[in-house]
Amino acid sequence: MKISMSKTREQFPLSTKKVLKKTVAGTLIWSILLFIIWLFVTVAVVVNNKSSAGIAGIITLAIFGLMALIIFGTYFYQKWYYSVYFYDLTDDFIIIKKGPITPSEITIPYERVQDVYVDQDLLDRLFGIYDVHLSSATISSGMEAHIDGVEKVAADGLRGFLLQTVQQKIGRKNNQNLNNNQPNQ
Amino acid sequence: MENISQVITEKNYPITKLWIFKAPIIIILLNVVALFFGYYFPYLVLAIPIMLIVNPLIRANFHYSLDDKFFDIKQGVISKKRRSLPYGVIQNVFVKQDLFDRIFGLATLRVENASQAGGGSGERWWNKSYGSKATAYGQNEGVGSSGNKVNIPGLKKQNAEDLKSYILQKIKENPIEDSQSGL
Repeated sequence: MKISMSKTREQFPLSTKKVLKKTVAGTLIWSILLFIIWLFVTVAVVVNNKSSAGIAGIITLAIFGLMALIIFGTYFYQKWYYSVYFYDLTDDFIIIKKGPITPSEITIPYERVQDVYVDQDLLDRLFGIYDVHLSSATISSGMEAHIDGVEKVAADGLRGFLLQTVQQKIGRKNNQNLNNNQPNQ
Repeated sequence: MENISQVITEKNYPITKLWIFKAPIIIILLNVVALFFGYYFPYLVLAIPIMLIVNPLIRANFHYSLDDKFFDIKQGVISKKRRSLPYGVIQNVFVKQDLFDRIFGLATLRVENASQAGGGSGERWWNKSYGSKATAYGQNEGVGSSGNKVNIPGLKKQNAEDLKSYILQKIKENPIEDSQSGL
């Protein structure tokens, strides 16, 4: 699948582990549920009539088939999602675009960025990837404007780049302010 | 964008006529699917003729223009509303497509600033929904100004992109002097 590249994505690449992480996150509960269902059903069938190896086999096949279908389906969707994930830090704006089927694109001017933060959830820690969040003063930007699934170097790089650019952009308006507190570079 | 000095209005990038039929088409499809399960949604079906009357009125009464200082929106069928949004305070610009939009090549453009219920979202005591998730995040896909956003649905994809880049250019040309007002 063709990956939608931008200068920023080349410099701070999205980790391929993101696909795996999202697949695990999306299918873990379904897999566990199906496994429990399979356990109950086979036990019930085997206990109730002794000569039911055929039925139990079919049930096993069906349930694990469904599980495989869900996992592969999610995996390919996430791979698609990964390949169309677009983010670019241009000179004036931050552009983040995601969603293979129903795309949504957000553009934020640097001056309007309110905060930048990096976080990890449990699965992110296992895979060693980070989410970089940035938001303007609107609620929807907090939900839309994040770059998730980058490795440590890229996360730190993105954070540093964003903070530096925002500070420069704000400082452009009042120069004496910029001279007083230079970013620590 | 033939002539840059010319003011861009809804005549340049109109809401397509197809937008009028968007909700009715979705309702019909929903009902067709539901009929397979032996059910349908009578109240949604009743809404179709109302939508077919109201939507063209909304569309005809919605005007916007990109002046050199303000993003000017005029709207309202019965109660009129005019909102002037300074370019400097625009927080973010969205271009969104849902499934219907994707199939028919449409897109929604959304511009947000940081005001709560800016321009008066028509909130009265009988429809007070302050801070509810529906108003906070995209659930009310109205036309024009509501809450802190200005929504222009049903644009052609290319038109939405053009309009977006035009607004971005305006944001760039009109930087805020201090971070408070922008006026």
